[in-house]
Amino acid sequence: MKEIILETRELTHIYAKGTPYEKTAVNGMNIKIEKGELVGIIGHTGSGKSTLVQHFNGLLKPDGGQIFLDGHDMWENKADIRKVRFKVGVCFQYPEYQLFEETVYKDIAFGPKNMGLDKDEINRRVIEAMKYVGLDESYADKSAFDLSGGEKRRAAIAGVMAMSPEVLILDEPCAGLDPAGRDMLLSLIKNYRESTGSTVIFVSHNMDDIAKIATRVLVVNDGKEAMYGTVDEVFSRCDELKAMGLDVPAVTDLFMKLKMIYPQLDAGVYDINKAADILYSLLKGGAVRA
Amino acid sequence: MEDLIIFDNVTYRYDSDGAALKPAVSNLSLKIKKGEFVAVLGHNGSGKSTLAKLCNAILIPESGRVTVDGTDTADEEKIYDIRRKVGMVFQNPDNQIVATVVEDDVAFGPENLGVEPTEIRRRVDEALKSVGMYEYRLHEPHRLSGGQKQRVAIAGILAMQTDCIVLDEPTAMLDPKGRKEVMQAVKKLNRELSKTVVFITHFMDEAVQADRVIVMNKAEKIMDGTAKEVFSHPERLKALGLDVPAAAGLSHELKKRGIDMPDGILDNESFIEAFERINFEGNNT
Amino acid sequence: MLKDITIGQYFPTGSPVHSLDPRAKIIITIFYIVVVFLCKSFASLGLCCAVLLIFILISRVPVKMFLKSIKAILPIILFTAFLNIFYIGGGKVLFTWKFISVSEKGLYTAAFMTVRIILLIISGSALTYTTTPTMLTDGMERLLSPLKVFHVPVHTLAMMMTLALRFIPTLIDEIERITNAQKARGADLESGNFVQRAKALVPVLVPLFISAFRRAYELAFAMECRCYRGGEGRTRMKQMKLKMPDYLSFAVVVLFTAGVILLNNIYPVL
Repeated sequence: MKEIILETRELTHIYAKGTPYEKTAVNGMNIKIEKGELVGIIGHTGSGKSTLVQHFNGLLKPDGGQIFLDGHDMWENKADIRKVRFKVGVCFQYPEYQLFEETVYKDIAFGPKNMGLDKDEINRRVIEAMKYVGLDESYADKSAFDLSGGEKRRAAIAGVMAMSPEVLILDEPCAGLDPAGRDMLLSLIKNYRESTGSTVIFVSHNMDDIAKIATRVLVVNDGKEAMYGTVDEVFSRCDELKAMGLDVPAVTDLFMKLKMIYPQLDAGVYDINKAADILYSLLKGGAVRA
Repeated sequence: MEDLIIFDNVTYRYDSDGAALKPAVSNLSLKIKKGEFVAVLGHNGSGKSTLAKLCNAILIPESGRVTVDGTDTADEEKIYDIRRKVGMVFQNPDNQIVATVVEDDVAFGPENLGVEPTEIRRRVDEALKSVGMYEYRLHEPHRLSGGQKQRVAIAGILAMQTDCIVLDEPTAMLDPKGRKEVMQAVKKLNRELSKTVVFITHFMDEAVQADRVIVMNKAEKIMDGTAKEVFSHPERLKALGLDVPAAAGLSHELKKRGIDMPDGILDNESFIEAFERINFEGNNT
Repeated sequence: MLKDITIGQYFPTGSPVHSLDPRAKIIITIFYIVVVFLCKSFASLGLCCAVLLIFILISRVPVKMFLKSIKAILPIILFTAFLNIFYIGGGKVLFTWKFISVSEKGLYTAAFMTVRIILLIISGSALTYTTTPTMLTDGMERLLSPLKVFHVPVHTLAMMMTLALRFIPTLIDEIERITNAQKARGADLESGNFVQRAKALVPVLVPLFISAFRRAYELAFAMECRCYRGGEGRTRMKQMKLKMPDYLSFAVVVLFTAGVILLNNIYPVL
């Protein structure tokens, strides 16, 4: 059993309590996230996943239940909540809109500077973070506003990586990117986790993205944890996912339909090459219809 | 059928302090017919958004000519005639809604055109009904979801009774549900209201639904044909940084393994049909 | 959340007051404020209270909402009352302590002023609770349209107002988003002295301004694409026409004015 880094117990959050707009966004959630995993969180808009993420670094305070980081209740000592933010780095949707410094370097250095690190350490971290996101040193002195959309996004993500958080959380990191930009970012995230060994959590609407890089998948529905398991485990329950109004990876969807004709097929396939291999051997083996 | 928008050898470059930039669109020629549903596919910076903005005189070609129903977009006096024919929906749903009530926003276009009040009312109701937002007519736009906001924006163009609607990545900022809603509304206005649609996107699953797909790369049009024709080249599209539908990709992979899958498979149904046929033939030989 | 505070605090109940013509409501409110200032006695002020109460009851907006709006400016009310009590002399002296003395007239004036301010606030709130910001701007635009003769850009001003109302919730959302993002990077926005706090706002303000300009730029394009070219030749979907209830309300207000003048003359206390 791996060490647990983040845990929620009966976590509940209610927005605009006592007004006509009152809404329970998270409703008694119990999850345990293991150290070093790359967790993909899925759920449709309004499922509570964004609210959950804002609890992970103490931006929101639970209205009920508890949240533990490294075994300690985050809100036990209110004054320490800023320290939680250094341990759990969150990069929100469209992070390029938070860039404000004159140069890429200075912007990435903002987080480490707030941590009170010395100059050399800041420098080391900025350069390292730029490497993680694939921006070479020529970008350091450029203005963030001269970068392309994808580069801005990566610079903003580097700003959170430079804080070397134990847990890095990315909310919809690929939103609005084209397929090439998306694939690049996904592989950068994967490499970051492999080379730092830190826990990475990313929220996405796109099942194919999650299938590509996640080691575990958390499905959030109606403010509760609906499923938590490996990619194979979760995507083999695609009927349930569909019932929640979620998409399944495109190949999985095709396999589900084929399974109705060839029941011997395994529906939890999400990789196109693997799918082709399976179908190939099915044909060669003289497939039998139901 | 008649051509509505004609690009004749068009080049455009954004100027940045006089520095000579690479053109955003270069030597582009293309004809869009009345009633056609054209998807323009390409990665970021391929020139697809520039193409959209050239359609209704937001941008004027540096060389070459764009005409809308015979009118040159470079003719400044005719600019409102052009925009009356070609409406535009933008990427960010928040930045194109003008009013604080849904129906007032939809009325904004026809009000600018000086349409009679009773006629505006009729058009607004009709437009809202055709995008499925009539029940929300008295809502505040900022409380709507992204997909709903984009449908309101589409209704705003419909109420102007333009012949053509250009949508510049209308789904890029939406969640899957919003994307489906917008796609459904767009298809409806093409099929039922016979509006010409130019749909800019980088999502191939949306492009597949169009009659015709144009692929842009490095300021140039490099593919132009039906969805079937374009998506029969998955390797080429992947090299351009674009996705292909799962069914097309999978049949291509099977082909590589020596299975005789036919060309032009785009959706699950035709994939399964082809797979079944091959399996059947295989079992009988 | 911040964005749930509606600007102008419209409170829909679908009452007859809500469906009055916004122009009528604006004129009546202005008229009412003038009459409140004309009041010379508690008797006439009492009539003002009565009339306002009737409007409020018809509007079906909960009285709690009005108390809320008074609470917001309670310090100002108390300050005015305080000044009046101690600075206005005359009449019987009720209380003295060292150099401070409270006279009957001072107390009386303080009470009078307090009621007056409260009436002003409530009548203003009654207008915004029963009229959407859009209707208000529309009504203002139409009321002021004669000023066009003097080259006052009435339409442009109204359009600016509408756009401001439209974008305030969007920008509030944006502030929340950017603040969260910078807090997540360890920005400390809550502690330090005034200068430190102002400095700490830079990471929020810079992105906010950039985004506001980007929005303005895109919005301008979108408006041009929808053939907007100012107020010239523009029609409006919603025509405003004074109807029976509007005329009826005017009649009530005229009667009420007459009543106040009458009461002023019967009980000229001040």
